[in-house]
Amino acid sequence: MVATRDIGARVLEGLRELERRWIRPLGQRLRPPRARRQKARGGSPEAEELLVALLRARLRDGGAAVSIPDLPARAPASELEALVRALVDVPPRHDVAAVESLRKVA
Amino acid sequence: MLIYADLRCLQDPGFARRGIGSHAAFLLTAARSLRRGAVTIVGLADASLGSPPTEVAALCDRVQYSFAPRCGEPAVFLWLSPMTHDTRLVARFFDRPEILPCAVVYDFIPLLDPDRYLASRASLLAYAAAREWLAAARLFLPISTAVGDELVTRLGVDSQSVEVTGVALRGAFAALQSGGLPAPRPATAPADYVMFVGGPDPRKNLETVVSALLRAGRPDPALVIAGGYPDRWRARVARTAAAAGGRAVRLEFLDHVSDAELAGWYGHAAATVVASRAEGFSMPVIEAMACGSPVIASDIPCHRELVADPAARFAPDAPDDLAARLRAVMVDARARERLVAAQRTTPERFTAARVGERFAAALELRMPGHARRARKAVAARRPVIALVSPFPPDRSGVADYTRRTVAALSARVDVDVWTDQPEPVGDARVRAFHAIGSGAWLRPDYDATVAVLGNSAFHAPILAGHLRHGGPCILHDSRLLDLNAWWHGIERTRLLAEAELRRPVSEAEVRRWACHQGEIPTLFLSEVARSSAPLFVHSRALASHVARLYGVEAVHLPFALLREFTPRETAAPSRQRAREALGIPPGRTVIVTLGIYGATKAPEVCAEAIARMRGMGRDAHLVFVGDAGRSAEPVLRRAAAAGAGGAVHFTAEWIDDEIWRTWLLAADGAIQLRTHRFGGISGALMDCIAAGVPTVANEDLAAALDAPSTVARVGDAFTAAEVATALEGLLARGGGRDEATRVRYGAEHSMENYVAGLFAALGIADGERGEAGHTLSGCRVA
Repeated sequence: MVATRDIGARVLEGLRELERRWIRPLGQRLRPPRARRQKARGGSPEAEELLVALLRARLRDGGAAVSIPDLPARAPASELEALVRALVDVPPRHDVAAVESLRKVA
Repeated sequence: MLIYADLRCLQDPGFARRGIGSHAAFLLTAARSLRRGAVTIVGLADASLGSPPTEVAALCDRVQYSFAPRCGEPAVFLWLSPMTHDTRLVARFFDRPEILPCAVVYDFIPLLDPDRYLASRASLLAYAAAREWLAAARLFLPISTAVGDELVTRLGVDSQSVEVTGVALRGAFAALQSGGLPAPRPATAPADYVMFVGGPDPRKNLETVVSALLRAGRPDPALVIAGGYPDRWRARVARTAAAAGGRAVRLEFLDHVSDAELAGWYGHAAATVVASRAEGFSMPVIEAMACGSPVIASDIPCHRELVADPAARFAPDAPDDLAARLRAVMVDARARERLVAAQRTTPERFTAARVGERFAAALELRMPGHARRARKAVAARRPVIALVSPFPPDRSGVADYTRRTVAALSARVDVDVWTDQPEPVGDARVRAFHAIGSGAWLRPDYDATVAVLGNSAFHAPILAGHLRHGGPCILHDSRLLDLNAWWHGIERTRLLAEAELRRPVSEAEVRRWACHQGEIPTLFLSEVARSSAPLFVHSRALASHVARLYGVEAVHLPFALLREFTPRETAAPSRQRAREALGIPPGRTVIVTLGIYGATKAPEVCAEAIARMRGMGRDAHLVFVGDAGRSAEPVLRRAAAAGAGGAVHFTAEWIDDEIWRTWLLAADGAIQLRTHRFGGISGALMDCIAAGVPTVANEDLAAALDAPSTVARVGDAFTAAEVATALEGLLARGGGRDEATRVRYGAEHSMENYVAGLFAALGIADGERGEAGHTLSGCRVA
């Protein structure tokens, strides 16, 4: 039986790869023509799943979605990068973060 | 109570016939009988998994192929199988105050053996994603206390949000539990055997049972094994059974036994062994107990809940331990009877009634408070809508219309626009522009993401995103043949046509329809109709076609004026100035036909009608406004042949708004025709009505816009003679424009009414006009 920390390490390894491959290069690419941008759509659906889940979790916690400062305002080079940017751009919203926890009250 | 239930585990054959599917179907049934108020169940299905089984769909009030909740309405999201399918689809049910995400939790087994269950990068990432989302649920329904405890320790969830339901016994076993007649002994059953129900997974620990049986000291040990073991696995177990110490365990593998047959196997076994190294719950334990078999189970957390006597549990990797337990019940009949009697009451905790009650209580306890808080939170916030659409300067009428829509929407909601136009025109009423991508459907701050679809290539990425994620959709065109052919190619379009028409369709047919759209027998809307909730259409006729062809009830949202004209603008002096600006000589009758030139607009008929008017002595000229006539050779030839060679003109292509308006003011009349007849609308005809231009349109098109009396209607099988006669009739009324009709129509078809209808159907409360969900003057359900 493998300890929970092992799976935790493997998940973290996956996360580091996501950070390295998709989050860090944000804003470092030249703006591609529209056609190339459309072609770049696609990629690993599971990676996108995890990326969305993590970014949404960070938003839920009330923080910025990623810690990269000063995202440049230019067009993203891939669908995944656009997705990160879209989730990073989410403004804080009181009623999302401050939903009361449900308790047995009735 | 509104419940959205994720049906994917019941659509997917890989789960529907397993424990997950069985429990999910049970909970759906139990949800039907919730006591507190009326229950509406909306089943959420993924089109890529096919249709849900009929019996599953029957448990829902309706099945929706889009994972999009209605704005602002308090609801429960019942996540029936959180760890098994694409988590992106459920994103819109989280982080919204009106939705209570409620997750059914089966186990965390993959975390115990990731090398086996999470060996691929894809499965690892997907599982990690599911785990993140699971932690965001606000009510957890684990199938055992052990799983509930794991939720608290692994995810750190509040134990107050955990309600253990257990799993219900299926019918055949429940009947035995409640005193039904014992099942008959199977004909092929050995005289004395131990029963094992597992499955081809090392976790089920069959080999330990075989080893234990060899050591149990029985003269002719037999083991009956159910659980769909493949031949290779059976051979391996047989080798284990034969290899130990000269004696062999007689193995009998069962193939596909029914519950009734399985009850017989349990009921006549000397004992049932459940040896799993890990489980979330254990159906064989309670099934065997219900059938009167003594159960010896591995000492794991979920078995401790079901098998209270420590003497009936064994360490899962200790065959000697199991052998001793087996000897105790197989040698001593009284000890066996005592164990059966002690275990007999355990299944009573898992009758359908008891499990259903626990499930219902968990929801009914929380819903009133949730609904109260949800309404308060929804009322306190300013909604945000995302429109996924072309946007100016895209050369698309839809782009212009979206911009107008944004202007009206922004009075009451914040609007983000997702567009592939790289340099959208600045608009202070747009909160932010984004490039089209899945983020439009995955952000947490949108109350609704509305896809805006038309039949041009501009809409290809919108179509792709909408088909995957679904949700509200504004459909501007009455058919999507061109878009499908452009985006998916002819072959995929042919297959779509076959599916819609339920007959073979050739590639040649599709190619012909692309050139002669008046002949299309279907609208190529099935996928969009299925993915849309709701689907907005702009004409009653299209709504009824969608209902007839696809069984989908679309919302009829009458098309609104795109451009407005003041009475001063449409008065004679202003119109005269427009004619002078365009260099129209006195005495000339200018007939315009507006929009991009195309065969579906019957340009040859327009040209011939002008020739006929000229034949009657009128200096009539036809101007194609908004097209340079680069592909107009056939029309020019026909006009020349009919004697109107010099009387057909083209403007520049995609002229700016000011020149467009000038032509609408300068024109004496207009012709707007469509050869396809499915209730399609025309922004150009709407402009003609807005400016009060006397216009001839065919019946289907005029009816689609509820056209007023300034529009003369000709039949849908129109001829040039009919068009010319109708135009002459309009011109005979005099040169003025019917201001009263024009202004009345404009008021009825204002963008404000349009937006009010949109809000009502989306569920966004309109403080000034009425409550959300009520039918307003501008919005009618077909």
